[in-house]
Amino acid sequence: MQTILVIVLIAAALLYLGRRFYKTWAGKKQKGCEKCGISQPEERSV
Amino acid sequence: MRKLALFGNPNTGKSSLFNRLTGLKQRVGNFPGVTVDKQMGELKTGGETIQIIDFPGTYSIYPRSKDEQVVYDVISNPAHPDYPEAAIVVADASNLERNLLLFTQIYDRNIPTVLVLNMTDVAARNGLIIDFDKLQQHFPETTIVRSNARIGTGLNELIAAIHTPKKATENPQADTLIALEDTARQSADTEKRFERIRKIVKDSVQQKSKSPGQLFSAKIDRWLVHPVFGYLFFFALLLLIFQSVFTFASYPMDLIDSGFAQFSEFTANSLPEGLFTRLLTEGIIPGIGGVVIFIPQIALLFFLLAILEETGYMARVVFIMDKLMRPFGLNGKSVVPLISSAACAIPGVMATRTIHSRSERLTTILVAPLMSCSARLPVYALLIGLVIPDRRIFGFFNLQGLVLFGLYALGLVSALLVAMIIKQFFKKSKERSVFLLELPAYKAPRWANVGLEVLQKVRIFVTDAGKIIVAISIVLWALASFGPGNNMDEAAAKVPKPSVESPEAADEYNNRVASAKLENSYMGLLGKGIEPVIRPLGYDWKIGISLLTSFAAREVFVGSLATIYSVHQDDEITEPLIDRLREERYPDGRPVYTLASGCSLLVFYAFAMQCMATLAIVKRETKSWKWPLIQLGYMAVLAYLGAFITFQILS
Repeated sequence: MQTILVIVLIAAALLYLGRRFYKTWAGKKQKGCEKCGISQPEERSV
Repeated sequence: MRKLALFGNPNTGKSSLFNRLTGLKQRVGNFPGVTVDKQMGELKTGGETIQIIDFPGTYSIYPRSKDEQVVYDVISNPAHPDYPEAAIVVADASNLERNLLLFTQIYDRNIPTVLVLNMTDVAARNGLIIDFDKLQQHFPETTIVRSNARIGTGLNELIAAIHTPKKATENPQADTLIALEDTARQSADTEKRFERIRKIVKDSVQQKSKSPGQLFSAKIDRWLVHPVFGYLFFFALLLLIFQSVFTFASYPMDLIDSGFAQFSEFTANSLPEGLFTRLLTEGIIPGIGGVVIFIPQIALLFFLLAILEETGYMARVVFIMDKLMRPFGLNGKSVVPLISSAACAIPGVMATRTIHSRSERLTTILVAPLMSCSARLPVYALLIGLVIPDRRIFGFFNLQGLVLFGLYALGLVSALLVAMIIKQFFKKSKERSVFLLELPAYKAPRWANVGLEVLQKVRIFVTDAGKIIVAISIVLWALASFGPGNNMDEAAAKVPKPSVESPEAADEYNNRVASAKLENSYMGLLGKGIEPVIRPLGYDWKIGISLLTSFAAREVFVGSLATIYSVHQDDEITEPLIDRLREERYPDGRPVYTLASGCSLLVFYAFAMQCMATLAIVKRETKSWKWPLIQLGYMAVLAYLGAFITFQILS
């Protein structure tokens, strides 16, 4: 049972990383950094 | 459906007004032929539905960026599908002189126009008395509405004015929109307009007295934007921030550290033995724990920076940095992208859209990732804690804080020097850059905003960066736990059994078995393959693997090390990562992490690109593979040479 769970988790991790890679390079629109949460160009009072 | 355009300078409350007028009936599209967002909404009034288009904020109809050009393209072409039947120009009432330039340019196009004087409360606070009747006399063919979009006053008057906008009479200036290339005529026209505007403002606006806030700000600014003391204060403040990051964050970090160690031990003891338990205790928990431990430092840094932003000091930093950057050939408008990159390079690269000159924009994009971003902080914090002694210099400077300050300074200095070199490859731009900066009055920080900013950053760091780290930890654990054929077991069997029976000898034997298994796993084979390339920098193959995995994102380096040093280490999962790294030895007994190899790694991470998302944004912004590849290449060379020189000098 534990082995099946590990295989599923490894497959899910690989799938997630592949999807992230695809979204980064081929995604239609990326508004900002998905990791740090800064999603807009910095707007200051300038 | 009638089409209405919403124009205005940036930061005038234009978007707040758009939201007030259209409520939830909004959608986002693209202006034809360009990738600039077009915000559209509908206003239902008196049985009529009016479409409102929110145009990008601009100071003048003559554009300085791609976003701003949309306004020129639409206004100059009555056949354009977005050409409006009427316009609303939103102006900041506290700075009429600057805001009326765009208004007069649109007013003179014979488009029925409503002028909204927004932020009247700010104008009143600043001691400005506006004579609206007199102002109206200067622009008889427009309706002037007073509003405060933040709280929604003046909205009914505006809707009434929109319903029946005054029809502009034929104006002889209507045909005088100057060609985009003719910048000389544009400047002359702008000067002429400002002359007229100054007279109008003098006639209709009275400055009662400066507000106490403005007087206080002017007094402080004499020192804070001073050509010498301004820089001294800024660098002293930065030094203080980095000192605080190391001094105050250590207490919660210790708590998190012991919490994860106990959790790991609890998991190992509670779950039945098996692959999944090993994946949890050797892969996922150490991977997450290795990164979560740095949250106090990240939160503290963002907290202190948010206070600087909230008080209005960051605008002063931009101002003094502009002076610092110009001798290096950077456009004044490069300041905001570069300062933004100190948080994250992605918004920094996106913010370069405001730079009109292509060569200057490219230069800024190419050097922006050299600024030390927040993702480097966990890497810096781990390595500094590992190889830099925690001692005081001159009695009060913490050496670790000084090194962190030095790394941020290294990022800025290298960005400026590289910009100076890159500029030599581009044709010299004839354009004189103009950098307009408005220094807001100092004010007490709104603590709710500061708290929200910190909470949001930490939440997204944990959830989004956490997902990547968990996924990579799982893959790394699998690569480290399995190997081709029976290689791992055979290597473990070859380790000689201890001749004497003692706990120390048993520990030594277990460590050698773990090491033999790891070296013969898939990860070990991969690591050994790249070791010759990284050995001159002072790294072993385990560091090499972490360098490879952190190509996707820098902060993954810490999580990867935590996973690599946990696999097969059954007895040591409760030991903090930093202690495990300190104990790591080469087969001949030399420590792996020394001052030389640690500093070499710090320099490597200060210069290396190591961020796939930034490369993707650079590709998107430059619409070419050439620039991200050049960027990746020059930063890799810089990182390798920098790390090599550092290691050779220090070892």
